Amino acid sequence: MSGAPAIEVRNLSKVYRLYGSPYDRLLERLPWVKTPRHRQVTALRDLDFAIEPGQCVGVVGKNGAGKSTLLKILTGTTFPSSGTYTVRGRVASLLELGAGFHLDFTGRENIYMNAAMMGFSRQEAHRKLDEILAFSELGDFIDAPLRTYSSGMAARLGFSVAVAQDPDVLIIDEVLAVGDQAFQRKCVDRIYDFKHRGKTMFFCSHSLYDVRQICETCIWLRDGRVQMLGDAVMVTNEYATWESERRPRADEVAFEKMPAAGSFDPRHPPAGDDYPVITSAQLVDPATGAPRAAFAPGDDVAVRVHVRNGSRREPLAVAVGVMRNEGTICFAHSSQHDGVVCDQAEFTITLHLKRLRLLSGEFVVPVWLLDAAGLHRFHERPVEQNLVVQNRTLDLGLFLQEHQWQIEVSAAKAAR
Amino acid sequence: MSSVPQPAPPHATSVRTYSAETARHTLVRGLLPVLHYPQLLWEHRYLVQNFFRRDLLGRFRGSALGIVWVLIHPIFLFTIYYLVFGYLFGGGRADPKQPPDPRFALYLFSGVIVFTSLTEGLGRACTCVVDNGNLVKKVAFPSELLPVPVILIAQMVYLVGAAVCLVVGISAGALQPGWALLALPLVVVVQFVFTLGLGLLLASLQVFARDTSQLWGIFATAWMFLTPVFWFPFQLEQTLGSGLGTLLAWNPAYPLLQAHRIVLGATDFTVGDRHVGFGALGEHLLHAAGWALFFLFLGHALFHSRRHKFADLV
Repeated sequence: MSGAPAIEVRNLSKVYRLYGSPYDRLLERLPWVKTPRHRQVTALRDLDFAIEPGQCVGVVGKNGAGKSTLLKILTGTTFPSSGTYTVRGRVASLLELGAGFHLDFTGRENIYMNAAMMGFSRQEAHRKLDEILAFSELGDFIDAPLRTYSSGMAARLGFSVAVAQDPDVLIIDEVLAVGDQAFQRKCVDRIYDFKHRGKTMFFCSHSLYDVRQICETCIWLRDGRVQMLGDAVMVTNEYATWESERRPRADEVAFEKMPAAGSFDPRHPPAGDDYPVITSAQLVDPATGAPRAAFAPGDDVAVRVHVRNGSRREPLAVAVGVMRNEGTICFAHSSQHDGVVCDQAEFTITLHLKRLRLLSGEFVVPVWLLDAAGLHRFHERPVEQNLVVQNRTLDLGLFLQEHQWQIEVSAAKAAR
Repeated sequence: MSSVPQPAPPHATSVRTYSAETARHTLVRGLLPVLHYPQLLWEHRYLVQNFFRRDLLGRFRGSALGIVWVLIHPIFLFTIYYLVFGYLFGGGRADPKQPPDPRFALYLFSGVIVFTSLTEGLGRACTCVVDNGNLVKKVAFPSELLPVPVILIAQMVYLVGAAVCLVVGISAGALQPGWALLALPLVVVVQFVFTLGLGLLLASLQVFARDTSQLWGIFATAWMFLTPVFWFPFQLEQTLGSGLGTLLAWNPAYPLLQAHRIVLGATDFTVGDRHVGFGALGEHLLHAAGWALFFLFLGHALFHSRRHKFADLV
């Protein structure tokens, strides 16, 4: 798209001054008070970037890196200490689910209230009401006071109101993990739809998976600075590596961590026939078809996954990863990227790994069941036995790089 | 960095540029933005209406009588004033054996409802930003509108009181409202601007120093007794002499109060051999409007110049 960037940030810094007591702030203003009475905390330092319209930008970084401060500044609730920013277009943000909700009022009253705060007129609010009601799926609860809502219901209401604004720039902070599975689906669909219509999105998440799937661009914030900005896959990989080096704990290390707040956990999908599940996943010998866990470098390996589809029979994709115990992903493949999806009621899908390149070690092999776009994870489980690779050579490292040595004798020295 | 607004791309409906350097307002530079306030108020009337509803319903939600309390309070107040000040203190009568003069009770009553709406509105306006901290932190909306609904509620309560005052006053023959009653909306608007200005001032101070609301409570009480709500000016004249004129001339609430009383139909009367006059409506209104604009400019300038700090402090 031509024209000016949707979001432009120049030399942006945010410094919080922490005072022991509010009166220190006033005391400091007195001409004879020379010593500062505050402690400075720099949340953002000299940020400098521009986002073109239509981009979807992920923001990653550990807690306290300045993600939320950046989102708050772009939303317009807090203001930078120095620098400039420009946001072009109507902005809607979801910094916290249920921000601005009043517990004593009904869902409907809260919709009107929230719509008014977002700058809607009465007519606009009435026009949007049906859409919000339909999207939130609250049914009769819409006329019950908010205090009777479950947290998931309140979250649904919040998301519905935010997306109903149809903004040009949508800012979302860690709120995708709301509601039940079906609602999560709708949220993700809505976000995708949003993206397709060329709207700009700013998206902060701890789930690197979500960032990779939804965003093209990613900003990695570290101690208030932009550590890296660029292609989402590249940045999230760099970030994951850095994270795993910093905190060498397996499993939860940056790797496809589930959003914690969600009531739905793909590791424990709901019982019943409604939801697609992985009924079994095992490593097999591709020649015999028999289960086998120990392999040598150069062997062919197959991962056989048995899937039972939900009652809705939607197209499903399967992803298989191989990761070391400390969390490094050696590789991961997703079937939808190779154009393989299946909507049968029950099927077996096998991933053939030709001539295994891994060197000695024990590897965890997680398997995910995804929707056709790879956005939603229905189920997640590791294969029954870890992959064990036994080396026949003395090579060291993670994988077997094809290699050869070559010697060229230097002529002058050889003459001596 | 350039803070010059750039031409908006065709898809943009609005461009928001913020530069920390140019936005560092001084109080003086904050004086003019108040001119946009009416426009802001109009554009966000739906928001104000929603806040109004929320505050009003929130105040009475769960109570059996609900909004009827707004009517009960002034009736109760009037009865108390009539009995206590009329019978007990024999106010406004030469002969204590006579039944009390309803004009005196109405004098007190009108003063109290005007002043209560002023101090009540200001007390709530003072804490409105801090009380709505969650909104100020999380939602981008014009926070300078926050005092408006609480002030409007205080004025609504006043109007109910004024209606009680009129009904009682006319039936007792103590009030003779005339054409001046038509000026009631004007007086209410002046009071709105007056309260809004002071409210913005107090609300910004409260963000930085939470003791403001407590101090305001004390100040409001002192102010009430420095204004002829409970007393007739002549009662102080004897002790203060010319000092009283200065006291009243510099009291911003005095012209407002008298304007309200005139509009409600209070006519000059005598207490004993002393004459109680109310002055000219136009003059009072002019004074009150002058104060109102002064407070609005000052309060809005302070609010506007400090606003960028609010979200980090509430």
